[in-house]
Amino acid sequence: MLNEGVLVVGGGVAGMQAAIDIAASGKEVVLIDKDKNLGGHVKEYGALFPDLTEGASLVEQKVRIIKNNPKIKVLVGTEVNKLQQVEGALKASFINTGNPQEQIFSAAVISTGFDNFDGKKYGEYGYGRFPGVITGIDFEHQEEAILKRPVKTAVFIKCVGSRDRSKGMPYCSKICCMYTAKQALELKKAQPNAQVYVFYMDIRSNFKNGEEFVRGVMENQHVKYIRGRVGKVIPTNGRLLIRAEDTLMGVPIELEADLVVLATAMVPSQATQSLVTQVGGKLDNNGFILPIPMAESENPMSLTKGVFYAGACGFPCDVKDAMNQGSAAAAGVLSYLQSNRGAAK
Amino acid sequence: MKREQASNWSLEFENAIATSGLADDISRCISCGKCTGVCPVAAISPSYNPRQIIREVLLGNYERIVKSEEIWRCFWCANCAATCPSEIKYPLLMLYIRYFSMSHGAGKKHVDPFIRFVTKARKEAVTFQPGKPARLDEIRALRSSLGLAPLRIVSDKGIKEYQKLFEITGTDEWLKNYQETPEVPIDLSYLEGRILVQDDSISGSEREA
Amino acid sequence: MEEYQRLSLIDPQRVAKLPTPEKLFLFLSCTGSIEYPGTERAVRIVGEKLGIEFIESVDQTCCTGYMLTCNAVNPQLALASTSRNLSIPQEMGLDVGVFCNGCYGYLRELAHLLHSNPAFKEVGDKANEALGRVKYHGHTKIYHVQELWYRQLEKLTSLVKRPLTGLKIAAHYGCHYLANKDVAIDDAQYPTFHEEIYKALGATSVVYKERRACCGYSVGRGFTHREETVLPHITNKMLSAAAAGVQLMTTTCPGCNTALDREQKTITSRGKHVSIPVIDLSQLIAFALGAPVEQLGFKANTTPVLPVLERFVI
Ligand SMILES: Cc1cc2nc3c(=O)[nH]c(=O)nc-3n(C[C@H](O)[C@H](O)[C@H](O)COP(=O)(O)OP(=O)(O)OC[C@H]3O[C@@H](n4cnc5c(N)ncnc54)[C@H](O)[C@@H]3O)c2cc1C
Ligand code: SF4
Ligand code: SF4
Ligand code: SF4
Repeated sequence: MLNEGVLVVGGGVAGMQAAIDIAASGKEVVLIDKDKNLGGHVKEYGALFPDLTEGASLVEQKVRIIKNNPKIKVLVGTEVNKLQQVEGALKASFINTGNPQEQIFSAAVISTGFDNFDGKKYGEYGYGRFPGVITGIDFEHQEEAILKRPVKTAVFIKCVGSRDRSKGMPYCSKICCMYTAKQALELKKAQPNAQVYVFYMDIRSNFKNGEEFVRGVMENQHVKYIRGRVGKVIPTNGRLLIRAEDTLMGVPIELEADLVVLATAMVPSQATQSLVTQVGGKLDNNGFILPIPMAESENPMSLTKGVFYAGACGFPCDVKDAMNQGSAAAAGVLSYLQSNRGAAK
Repeated sequence: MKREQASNWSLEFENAIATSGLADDISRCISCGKCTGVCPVAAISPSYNPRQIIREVLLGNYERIVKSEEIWRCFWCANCAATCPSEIKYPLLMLYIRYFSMSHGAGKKHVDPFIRFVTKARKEAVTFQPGKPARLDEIRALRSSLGLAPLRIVSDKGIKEYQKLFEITGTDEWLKNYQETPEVPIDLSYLEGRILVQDDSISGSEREA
Repeated sequence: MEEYQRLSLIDPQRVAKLPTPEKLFLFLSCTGSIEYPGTERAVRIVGEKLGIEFIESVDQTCCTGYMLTCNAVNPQLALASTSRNLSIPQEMGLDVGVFCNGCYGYLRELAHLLHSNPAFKEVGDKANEALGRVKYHGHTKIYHVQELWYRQLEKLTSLVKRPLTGLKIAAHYGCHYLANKDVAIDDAQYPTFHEEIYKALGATSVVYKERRACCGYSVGRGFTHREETVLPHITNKMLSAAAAGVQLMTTTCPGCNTALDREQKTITSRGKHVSIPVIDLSQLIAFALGAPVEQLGFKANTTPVLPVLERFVI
């Protein structure tokens, strides 16, 4: 019993791209997202690095393509909680408008994305405790309000929940250097008189035009980059006192800010971890998907038989990369279906 | 200051630390500066910089810190260790650096004041028991009024055993050596040529008041 | 300031794991015995109310941590005396309660070194052997009484006889309890469990700017670097507390208490007036539970305590 339908779990940019590319070749796709709208994290973002495309308009464009293709069936508000290999096919369980359902698919793409690091885990930064301390994701969600509220001084703190083995988070989240530069830029554009500081350990801008983007923020917007990981945020006089070392000068410094933005990490999601293990895939030390060694897999996004993955469920990535992976996974699905049909015949 | 010669650096000290079992693996330090950012001593005396001290040890340029005043400033408050993303137990490293410095005859003036505590503790198995009779009477009166023994007394057995520990752990010998090692004067500040602004106003809290 | 209450980073799992023992070995602190004997008394009073009997031993010596960290003895002595001291409660079959952050930190760290490094363990074992003592097996648990009090917060609340209504109290947590990140029940950078205790006692807690700043007195810098760093540091801390309107400060370490209480006299004599009584958290709790004031040894304090507590004594 071979079902030609392909399941895509998670309708973020990675999953949408995968669904679009699979359906373009005429295959039936069921795209499932637990949220009530497609688009994943990006749908709530303002402008995206590196070219300042609006997150919402990117998502709108993808959603239009999906709506116009009858081969793609979209189930939103639906959470996939089980995915199992059964007799050469995949059985998925999900809850759609209160009804538990099961369906058989011939292949699947896991594109369940990432979760946000809980900024509260740093007592020293006072997130959730001191007004004026927000996370990068809060910035994206409330961008309009934040840009309107006048600030004299804003401070961005990078690597919050990344590169910190004492918190069990040794890896670099890869995108926060860029989104921080982008947010600093947005703030400066809205409030040219605001003094903006970015505290960093390294500037990781390894994306096309990434270096130029960050240099532009420093050179044209005069955002001050200070090398040092902030030690402490202390509420004082209704403002926020920042203590850190300027490690290039070797001096401890102190400054007062009105807004503190924590560049929180991208962390693996629980859903990814359970779906991946259910289909026999493996997780890496950080809880992201462990890729099959390059020389052993036919497609870079292969996970197990008939199962592929794409996007930030594998490891932190930017939107462009997530979409690339979605396309790659789609190619993997198509060639798998092709060769599997041959085998079945 | 002349250009530093990497050929003068040595890993001997880092290796010694690694084998000491005290401060493990300082090569994990990512030089983020969080420690210095929260360090109360650096806040008052910025020539003291725990991050830079770790770097000196890592690069093998330890001669300078061993002979410096800076290493004696640390409060040992462990604020650095409590905040360090790389789980570096800096105070233990500092303890070791100080021993190392002493083994070169440096820093004695910062240890000497405590030798009298040790001499007294060796007799009483308690530290800080004052010697002045008037103060002792005061303590006796207060403690008695609280229903406690007039003085905190360790049993004869306890004291004898404690003294024996001085013998068998080589502490007596160590103390003798310490006293016989001539002092090497140190007056080198950690980084020569650093410009420090002398500021004796208590800036932070005054601003708050 | 209500802000701290919006978020607690206290680890409920760690709190739940703490025991509610009937009997505990009381590890005596040299500084405590000499500078503030009222603390020891208060610990016993609070223990009694909570049903904890504290047993001490005249064989227990100084923890030797201070001398070690002043580099005035060799590390072997500290390891050996830790091993020896901890063999005493081990033989009694008791876990250890400590009321000094210093003793707590040193015992924990040294016990950890003894446990994790075979060469260090040998130093300890050899010492105990030479003294004819049992070997220290490393399983004795070490608690600071502050966490045991917090563990029974509900019971404490029900026992309050003198609600401290309107008293503005601030915490000095000290460093060497929180620095034990792997076991401490609260966040090392922004702890709030003392504030919860104040609330239970009916008091108002005040958050001041330098609440997490250390006392400056550990490892003897109060002797060697007093003028250069320690006094400016303490001045900073206490003035920030005064600016926030703190009426009373509590500590959980007689060493910290000595620094923050006694140095106020110097600070004031140099023209920056500050007068905030500093007492141990156990003393505060014992007071709120109705212990007779004479039993709490406030006479030992340099900055007078009674002016702020008197009004609660009926
Ligand atoms: C603060 C911040 C700012 C950023 N700014 C930029 C930027 O400017 N430019 C840029 O290129 N990148 C940016 N990024 C990165 C960007 O967010 C990611 O690259 C992108 O979201 C990855 O897409 P994704 O589809 O893999 O995952 P997601 O966006 O996380 O989408 C995953 C989807 O899967 C769904 N899902 C999860 N589990 C299930 C389940 N069990 N059943 C059904 N559905 C499920 C979720 O509801 C979600 O819709 C930023 C990231 C952060 C944190
Ligand atoms: S991308 Fe930048 S901010 Fe994010 S973890 Fe890496 S270095 Fe830190
Ligand atoms: S906080 Fe830790 S990792 Fe950062 S510089 Fe200091 S010792 Fe190194
Ligand atoms: S232990 Fe020493 S280096 Fe670390 S924060 Fe305290 S004073 Fe600074």
